[in-house]
Amino acid sequence: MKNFKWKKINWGNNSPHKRKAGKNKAELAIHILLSFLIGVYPLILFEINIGSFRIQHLILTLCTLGTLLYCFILIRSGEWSFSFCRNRLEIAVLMLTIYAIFKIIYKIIITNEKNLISYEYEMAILALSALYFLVLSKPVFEEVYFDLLCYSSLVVFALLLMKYFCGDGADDVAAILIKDKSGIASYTILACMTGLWQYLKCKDKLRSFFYMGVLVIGFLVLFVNQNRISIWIMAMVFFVIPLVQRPTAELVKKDMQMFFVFLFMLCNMSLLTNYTNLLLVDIHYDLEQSVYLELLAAIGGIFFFKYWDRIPEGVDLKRLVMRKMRRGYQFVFRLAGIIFMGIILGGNCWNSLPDGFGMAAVKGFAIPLVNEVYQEKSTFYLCFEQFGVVGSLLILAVCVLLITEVRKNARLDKPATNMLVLIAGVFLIQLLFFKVSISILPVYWIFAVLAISYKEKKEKVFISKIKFE
Amino acid sequence: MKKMLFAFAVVLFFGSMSALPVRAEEVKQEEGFTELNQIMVANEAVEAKETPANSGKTVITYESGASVFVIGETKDGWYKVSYQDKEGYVKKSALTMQEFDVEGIDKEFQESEAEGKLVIEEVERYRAEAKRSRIWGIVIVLLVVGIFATGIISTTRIEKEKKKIIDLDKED
Repeated sequence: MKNFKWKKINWGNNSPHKRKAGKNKAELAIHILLSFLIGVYPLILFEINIGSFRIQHLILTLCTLGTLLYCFILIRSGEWSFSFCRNRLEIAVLMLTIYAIFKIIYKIIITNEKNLISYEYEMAILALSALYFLVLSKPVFEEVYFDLLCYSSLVVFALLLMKYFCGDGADDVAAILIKDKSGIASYTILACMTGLWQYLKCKDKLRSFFYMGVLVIGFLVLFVNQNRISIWIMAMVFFVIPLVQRPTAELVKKDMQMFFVFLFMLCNMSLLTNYTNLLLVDIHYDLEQSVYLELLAAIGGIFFFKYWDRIPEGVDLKRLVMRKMRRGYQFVFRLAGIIFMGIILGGNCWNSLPDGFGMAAVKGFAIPLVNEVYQEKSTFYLCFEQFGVVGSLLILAVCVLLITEVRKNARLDKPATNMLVLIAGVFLIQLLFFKVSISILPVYWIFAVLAISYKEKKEKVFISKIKFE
Repeated sequence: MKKMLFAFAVVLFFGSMSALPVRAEEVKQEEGFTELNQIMVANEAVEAKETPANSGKTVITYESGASVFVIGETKDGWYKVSYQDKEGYVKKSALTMQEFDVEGIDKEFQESEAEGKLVIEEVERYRAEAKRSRIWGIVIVLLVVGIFATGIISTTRIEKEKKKIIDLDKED
């Protein structure tokens, strides 16, 4: 092959006119693919099998590989070029793709019972690898992606709420999601995070009502699903946002508004489940624990408002950066993280705590969380189960390298990138605890890849220190 | 006038004469037959005859233990029975009085009443739940559609404002 290089593939005629036209076509194709995967693909929740393939895996693989093929055709005619193997992450992804292909060939040729074999995981790897190279070739993040996710999540939440409050109607349409609690959790976390970010950045009042509506419904679904890990993760997100974004007073105010809505709804779930027959699902929230949570919220509120009252009147909240409050958020985040890890590492020892003052509350809080963590199968366990040692080590290598690349791209003056970094971080943390649903896995992956590759223009900021008495 | 009176007397006489045999038959029936109108039980498989005689034609067949509706009792030891518009005669010895367990029947009646109440309550509960589900379904759909519409309206408004700004910049 003439002019073939490791780093850049560019065959055929290199006329600028053709390259410009090709770039637009490929860009358009990738944009359509991303919009489809973010807005429409999560709505495909039917339980339909075509042969031994589930429709979700089939559509994902066909769409991504089809778009990649189309882009390759455009490269071949000299209209588009993209680079790969620039860093270790790309090499790891390529090796993982080759491993998945070998595994598929092995399953087809070596094994006799062809019809009974599932290629789901290998197909998912191929699709995500294709998506990785496609997004990398055109790393442009558009806010419309978050809006698309909010709109499609409304439809999914409506189906889930119909199941929770009406008892039927959604089983056929959303069969895959309804059976999969951890799938609902992973979906809801992403929808709530994007809704929260859009709410924080929104300047239009009517639009902020839309994002607030998405968030309130999302929180309700999160609590009715009763996946404690996801509730913890979402609570931590509220404290991480002022750390990954510039903690202006406006941002902190809006963030805390939604956090208190979150806490309010969580505290009142015990009333909803114990004293009304509105919900048709079997869940239980302890009234005593909700009282302790309300006490904690009240204490937190005292500290917060005590500091907030120091802001003098007339100050533009969008221009006021709250550094000390940021340190407070850092402290709370680290404390919550240590408590979480301590509870999980404590394991079954929490059962042997004496029933003393407050111990019942601690046990009631810790033991269900530990049980949930131990019951769920993490994605890494599933990787070992499906791909063996080599495949799992490759996946782990990809995750570790992803963290490295993400950290390089994170900057305080790049708000959208930092939000994508947060999403990537939440995605990787979720992999430790449960399996992410195939309906939302491509969306997480898209945002994670954008987090490492999106070249956002830095915000121009002029800082002047103001001291308040 | 006399002729009319005579004719009237003759009609009266013959009219009274024609009623006599009927009354006589009725008296005759009452004399040989005692009305019972009760349910009895067949001791064994028995055939009801057309006439109260063994040589009579069989009109109804009863199995052992079957319930038999007895219209009445004849003097010569036969019961007159009825089944589906057919009447026949069965020997007295073939039927016995049905013993009614009054307490048991009362208990059964109470149980069936309670079951009936439960069924009615269940049906009412299902109706109420179905109604509630429909109401909640409508509320959820309206809520989601409302939020959706808010998003669409705000998007179109923002896009229009952006276009206006762009047009103003172009004019400048």
